[in-house]
Amino acid sequence: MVADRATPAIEAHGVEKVFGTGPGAVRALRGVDITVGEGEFVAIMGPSGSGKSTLLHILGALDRPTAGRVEVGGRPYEDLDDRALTRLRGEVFGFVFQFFNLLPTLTAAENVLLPALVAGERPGRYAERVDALLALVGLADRAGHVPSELSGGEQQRVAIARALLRRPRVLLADEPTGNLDSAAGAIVLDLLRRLVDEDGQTVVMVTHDASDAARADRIIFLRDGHVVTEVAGGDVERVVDALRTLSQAPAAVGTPGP
Amino acid sequence: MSPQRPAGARLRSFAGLSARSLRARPLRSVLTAGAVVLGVGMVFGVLLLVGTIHSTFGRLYDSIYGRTDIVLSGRQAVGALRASAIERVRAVPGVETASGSVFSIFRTVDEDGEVRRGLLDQLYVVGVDYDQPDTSGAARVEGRDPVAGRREIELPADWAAEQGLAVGDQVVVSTPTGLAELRVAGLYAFEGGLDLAGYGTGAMPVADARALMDKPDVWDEIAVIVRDGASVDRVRAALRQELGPGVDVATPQAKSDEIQEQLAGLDMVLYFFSGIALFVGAFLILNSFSMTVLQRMRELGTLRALGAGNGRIARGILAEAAILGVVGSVLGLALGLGLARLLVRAVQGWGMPVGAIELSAVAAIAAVATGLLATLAGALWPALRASRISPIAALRGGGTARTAPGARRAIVGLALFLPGLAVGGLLWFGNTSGSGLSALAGIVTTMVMLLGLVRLAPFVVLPLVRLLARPLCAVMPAEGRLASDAARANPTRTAATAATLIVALSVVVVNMTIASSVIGSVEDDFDRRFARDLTVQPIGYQDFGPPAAGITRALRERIAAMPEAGAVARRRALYASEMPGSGVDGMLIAFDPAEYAQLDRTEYEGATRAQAHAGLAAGGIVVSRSFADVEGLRTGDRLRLEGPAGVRDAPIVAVADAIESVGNMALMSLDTMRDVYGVQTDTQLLVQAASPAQREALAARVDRLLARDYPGVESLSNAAAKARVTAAIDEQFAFFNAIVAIAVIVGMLGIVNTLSMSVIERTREIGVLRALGASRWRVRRTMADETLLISIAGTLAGILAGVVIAVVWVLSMRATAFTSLSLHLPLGTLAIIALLGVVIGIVAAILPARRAARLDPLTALHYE
Repeated sequence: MVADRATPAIEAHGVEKVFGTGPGAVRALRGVDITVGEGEFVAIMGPSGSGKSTLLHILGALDRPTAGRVEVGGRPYEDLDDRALTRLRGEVFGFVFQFFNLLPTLTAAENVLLPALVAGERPGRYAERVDALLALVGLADRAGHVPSELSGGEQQRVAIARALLRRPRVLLADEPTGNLDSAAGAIVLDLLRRLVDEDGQTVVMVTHDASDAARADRIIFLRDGHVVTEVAGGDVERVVDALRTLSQAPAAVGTPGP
Repeated sequence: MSPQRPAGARLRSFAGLSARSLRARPLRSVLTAGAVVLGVGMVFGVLLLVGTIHSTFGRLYDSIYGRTDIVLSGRQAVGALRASAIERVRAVPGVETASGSVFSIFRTVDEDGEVRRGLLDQLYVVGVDYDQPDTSGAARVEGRDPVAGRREIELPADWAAEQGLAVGDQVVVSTPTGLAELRVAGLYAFEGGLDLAGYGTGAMPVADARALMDKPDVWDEIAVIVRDGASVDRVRAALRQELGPGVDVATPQAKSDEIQEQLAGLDMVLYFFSGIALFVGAFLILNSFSMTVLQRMRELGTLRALGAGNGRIARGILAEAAILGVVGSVLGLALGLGLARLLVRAVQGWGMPVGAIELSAVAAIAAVATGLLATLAGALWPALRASRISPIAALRGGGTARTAPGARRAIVGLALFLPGLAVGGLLWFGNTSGSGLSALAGIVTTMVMLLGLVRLAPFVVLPLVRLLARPLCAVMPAEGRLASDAARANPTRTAATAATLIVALSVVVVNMTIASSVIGSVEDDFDRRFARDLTVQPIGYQDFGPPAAGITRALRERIAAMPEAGAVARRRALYASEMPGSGVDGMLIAFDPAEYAQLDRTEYEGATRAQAHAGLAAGGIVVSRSFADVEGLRTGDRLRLEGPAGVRDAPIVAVADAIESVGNMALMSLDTMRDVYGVQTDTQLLVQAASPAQREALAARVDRLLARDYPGVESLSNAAAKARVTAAIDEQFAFFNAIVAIAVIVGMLGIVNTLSMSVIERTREIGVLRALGASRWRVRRTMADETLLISIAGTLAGILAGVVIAVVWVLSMRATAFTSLSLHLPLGTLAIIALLGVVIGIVAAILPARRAARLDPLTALHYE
């Protein structure tokens, strides 16, 4: 399948997010524009307080923007009610978290199956896919283990398999390697890269690790709720330089976001 | 390499997740289910008991009255018909046969000739005319009818077997006229297999019975069979016409219905107390599921992120509750069966002839349904809260609001609490009580009041915690400070922990305070009014109990003849389910005015004592203040007395603050009671020594006489008489307290749960403590101190609430119905309750404290 990078998989226009009201209000995002094409691997970086996690949550329909527009496959979803957003979460987006967030009482296979159960579908329909996904992430032989019996890297791979169960249009990852050692982290990034290259999966990843970000096609830099710059992926040095420039620039006016 | 589970997913559905979560936290699940088990067990046990009581009484009437169409007796079982009435009855058209009977209680005697004193050693003996057709529902099993003049009796076959008696044996019984030896002529059994749980009955020829029972010319009951083809209603009307308003002309069914109605009041009280257990159980479930939601915040957030909607999350939690509810309810049925057996035993102790438990599918279904409902109701609030959490908040760990309870909570709490406080006493113990409707109203307002109490809990508990923290900090500065800060930092949680303790303890305190007030008032009255030295009465006599044997004239005369005896006063008492001219129940008491004058110390209103006594002798009556208040009676009014022997308009000659004790009472002369109610048998003798120095000698002489010739009669000192009365009241309240104890146990489970919740919530705090160098011991101390603070505060608050409620209720009762009721605070018992509350709190904290101490600092700090 040839990925058509011209069609935006997901886009954000003028997205703002304000937490709280009055003088104590925090403006996490102050007008962010982003476009991610089909089959593209985009990384979002920035210092803490830049709003990158907030942006990812809004893109992943976990939160609504205070202002601005978000569209997936051309369809806007900034204004949808909770039920519609919930459906998006289950059908269109797949989320991977820093702390894995597997259900501790379920086995790996059951965790992968969870999105189907949540949607009320019959598990039988997904039996093969679960096996296939676990094989894909290299954990076919650990299917019957519960998270406490898996290493951090293995848990994250299960989480990735879970996120992929219902063939989401966009896979969103929030600091996926934040809790892993470098070896495990590398395995995870290899996996993500393979998904993009071989299956045409669209991936948006928030990270603070330059080498992780470098694996992406494109890296977007946020600071104080704005998009500041963008560099092409593939070269760690380029990413490091961009980061250094970012940290030396004068701070924007106003209180930083969370 | 750890053991592999099958590689395929085993989870079949989202609902399966609920079952999985329950299994993952076995202790919590068991505790929560335990609450359901106890609550459902209570409800089922009570339902079975109630069903059994009603069914027994229903069958009782069928069995006893068999073919009888109409039963004639004194109105509300008060008094007896004149013997001559039977001829008039026979003359009424439509009457085929009329059989009269007299009735008394004999007692069995053991091998040494001592009269047995237990409730189950009574023999309810009826004297019947064997020449008349048998109107009962009993059939001959063995032997023949007893023959008059030969001192014979017939007995129930199963009771005789238990006593080891066969046809032809001699049995010695104690009768009102002394010991008698009777020959067992025959055995019978009630059709329908009635089980009276060991209560004995017997039948003998009426002529012999009259002699033994000292009832020479009355009938206690006349059973009528109506001619074939005649209308029962017409005959009833004709009989009413013939016999006058004092005679109760009822069908056996109507009499049975009357009893069932009277039982309805008891039913309501039993339901209420079982409802309390369920209520506290639902509360526990609320706590438990709130904690579950808290602990699984991240999980719930993840599910939301995966596309689970609000509804699904809520339904998942409710599904968990439903599973616990079903399991708990089924186990509760088993517990309920055992409880029912205990309850029946207790009720038998009150003198009710209730037999084997009757299982009822309806009761089981009702109990399970109530259990499920309570479980789901308890889990509803946490489920809704869980469903409303935004995914982000959940993923971040979701902190609980730590706001102080606001004015709105206080207002809602007061709005719920105050109405129940104001009227509860009247609904429970007022003059309208006993009716099903008022008991239901009492239950509802009390439950609402308790809810209000829970809402108000923080406003009492938090200041108490602040107060108690000071001495604690003085003794243990470090832990004390940490503990008190913790308790105050999260007021809602602190109050929730204490709430169950408060509710449970306040109910206990109210029950005990009212009990002690009633008993205290009765004792005060005793001391004030009793000018006697001895009370002579049949063994097992109770004013409110079943009709007892009496005291014969011969016995009275012999005591009066003793040199040490000063005054001997006869007393007759009748329980009236409807007082004259009124719908309330009460006691009718009769004395001979001349005899009474020697002992009476009552203060009368509207007349001097001498005038009152003269008025009684002239046929008037004295009423108690509470009865006068209820019916608006005053000195000079006339009250219509209607009895099976006659009707009279009696003037009220005086009002007494109380006659002997609290309650609705009317006092009359012996003559009046005989003329109107046909009562000729004395039920007690009040004896006073000629001088205080002769008291002991008198008591000794009376005892010797009784032991020798009247073994069925006993003589009580004042202390013993007082103790008897208070013991009966004590038993009733103790029974209720036993049921309440279950609520306390459930409350204790609630505390364990809430304290565990506290550990979860403060995991990070505890981690910081440990990382800063606090030892496990210190952490455990801190948790224990916090628990101690909350337990003591909760206990004090519970006792305070209970005392406030009890005081208001007692005073309201005093102002309206029971004017001689005075408040007696059971200080000793309160102290024990206080201690108990604290102990409960401490014991409940052991597990959570240990878990807190075991938290690994790194894991705790890492806690997201």
